[in-house]
Amino acid sequence: MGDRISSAEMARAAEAARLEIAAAEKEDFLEAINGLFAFVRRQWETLNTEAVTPTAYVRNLKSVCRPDVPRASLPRETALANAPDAADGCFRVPKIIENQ
Amino acid sequence: MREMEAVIGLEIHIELQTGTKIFCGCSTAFGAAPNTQVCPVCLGLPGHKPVLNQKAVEYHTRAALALNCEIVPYTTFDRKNYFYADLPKGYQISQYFHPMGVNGHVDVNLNGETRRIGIRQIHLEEDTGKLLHPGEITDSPYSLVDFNRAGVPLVEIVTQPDVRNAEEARLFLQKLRSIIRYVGVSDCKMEEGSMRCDANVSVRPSDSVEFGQKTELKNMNSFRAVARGIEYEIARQTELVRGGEPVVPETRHWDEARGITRVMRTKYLATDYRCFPDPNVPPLECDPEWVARIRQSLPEPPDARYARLVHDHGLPAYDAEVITASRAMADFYEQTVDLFNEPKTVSNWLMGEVSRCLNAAGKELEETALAPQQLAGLLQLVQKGVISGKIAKEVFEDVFQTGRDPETIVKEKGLVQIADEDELGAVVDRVITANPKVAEDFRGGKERALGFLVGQVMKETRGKANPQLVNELLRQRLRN
Repeated sequence: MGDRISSAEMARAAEAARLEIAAAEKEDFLEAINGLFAFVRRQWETLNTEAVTPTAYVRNLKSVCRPDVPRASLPRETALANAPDAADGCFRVPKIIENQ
Repeated sequence: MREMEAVIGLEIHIELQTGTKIFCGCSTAFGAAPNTQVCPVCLGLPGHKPVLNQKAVEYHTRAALALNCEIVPYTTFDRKNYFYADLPKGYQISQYFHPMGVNGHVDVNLNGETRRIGIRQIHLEEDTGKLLHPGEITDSPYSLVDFNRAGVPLVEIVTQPDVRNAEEARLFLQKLRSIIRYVGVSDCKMEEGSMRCDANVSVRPSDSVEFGQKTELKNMNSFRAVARGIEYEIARQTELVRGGEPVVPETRHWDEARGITRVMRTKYLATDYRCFPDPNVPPLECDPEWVARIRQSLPEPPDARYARLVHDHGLPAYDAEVITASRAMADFYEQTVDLFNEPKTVSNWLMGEVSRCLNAAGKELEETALAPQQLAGLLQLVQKGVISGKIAKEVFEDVFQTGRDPETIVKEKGLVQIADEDELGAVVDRVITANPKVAEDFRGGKERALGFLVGQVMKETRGKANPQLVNELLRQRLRN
């Protein structure tokens, strides 16, 4: 990856995230993303991070577990309440597997 | 023609028998009505907070240690991002960066030779929901989704590419199932989906060190299906390679009915999972003392038990292998031998009558009420000569069905062996008189004729005659 994110790279990321970007907005998005990356890169270059270990967590927690004790589940009607489509107590979705 | 060999790696998913899901308190019970065991966490609703199930970690560790794996000191739970209708959150939480167990192995016995199959890793992850298709999967216009299974804890076990043929794969899976069941973390039922196996298969010239192009096989729902699917795929790829055609890297589904593998394309190509640590699930640090405690709590592994039964009990290798394949069977065997110290007799009964009745009932030993005391009691009755071996089988059937004591059954049904010389002598005389030709044959030196006469006496006494005494009496009378 070069210094800037290319239009093709953005398209691939959008596809992976199932995002549709209107043709008219592509240019603006690309600028915005590159602006973000440039900001992060600037911080990186100006701040001394040598003694800082990388982390994916905002809180310093570790090994948080709960006992294997059951709790009530949702009533099915509630679980299905926001489903765009439902049938036979199930979420109904377009078929995924294509015929060969 | 160049010799070809197959290179096979297996990926096995096993559901852990915890009471609740991996990140929420929903029940994991099998067979509930669709979408009745779901909550904001396992449905991936906004604002949900996953919290790791301690028991899932413990069960993973038990399984990992049983597979001779090292437990890593630090692990994270990572998001594997892809879109599929059975995945409510748009990502699956798995251990992508630091699989919790690594570098294990399982030894498999193939034709008297031990083959070591390496375990690359065993890690913890969550199961997906289940897609249901009314009618045939290919004809159905839509899919129904049941999320009861979403979030059930799984271990995924990845082998090294050490498997070389279908039979080895089958034996490995059986051994794996046996080991996992021994440590009591899953029932490993392939038909119910609590154990699922995918296979990466490739072929190459046997003098080659480079791997051939591989395909991934899915949808094999029994040990037999795994073996058949792999066998088919090896043959298919070998033919392609020999004909100079390329093997296309693809996912193929085993079609059990047609006995072939075929490509099943999906609309979404998930080529890039963009994994990163889930910020909502803190990392896990393993306390070595805790791991040591888990290790201590493990039962004697099947291999060690097998060796003990061969060396200390004097069982034939075959018997020891069959008996130790299931922990319940091995426990039952040892408890019976404690009460009736004839290992080979007990083993014969377990592999014979007991297994026959279990197969007929479609049950596992631990699902029945059969007790070691009952089998030992029955064998004692035979040893004391109270009943014959033949009657014992009949009594056992009754014990198995009704759970009653063998002694009670014998008394009630009047099955006590006839060992009275006078009583039996009378029957023997009748049989000789009724079969003069056969009696003559025996006198003329035809040993086999005696067997027929013994059979007739047994028939008249409805199997209750003491066979040794019958033999003796017949010989005695025919000698004169």
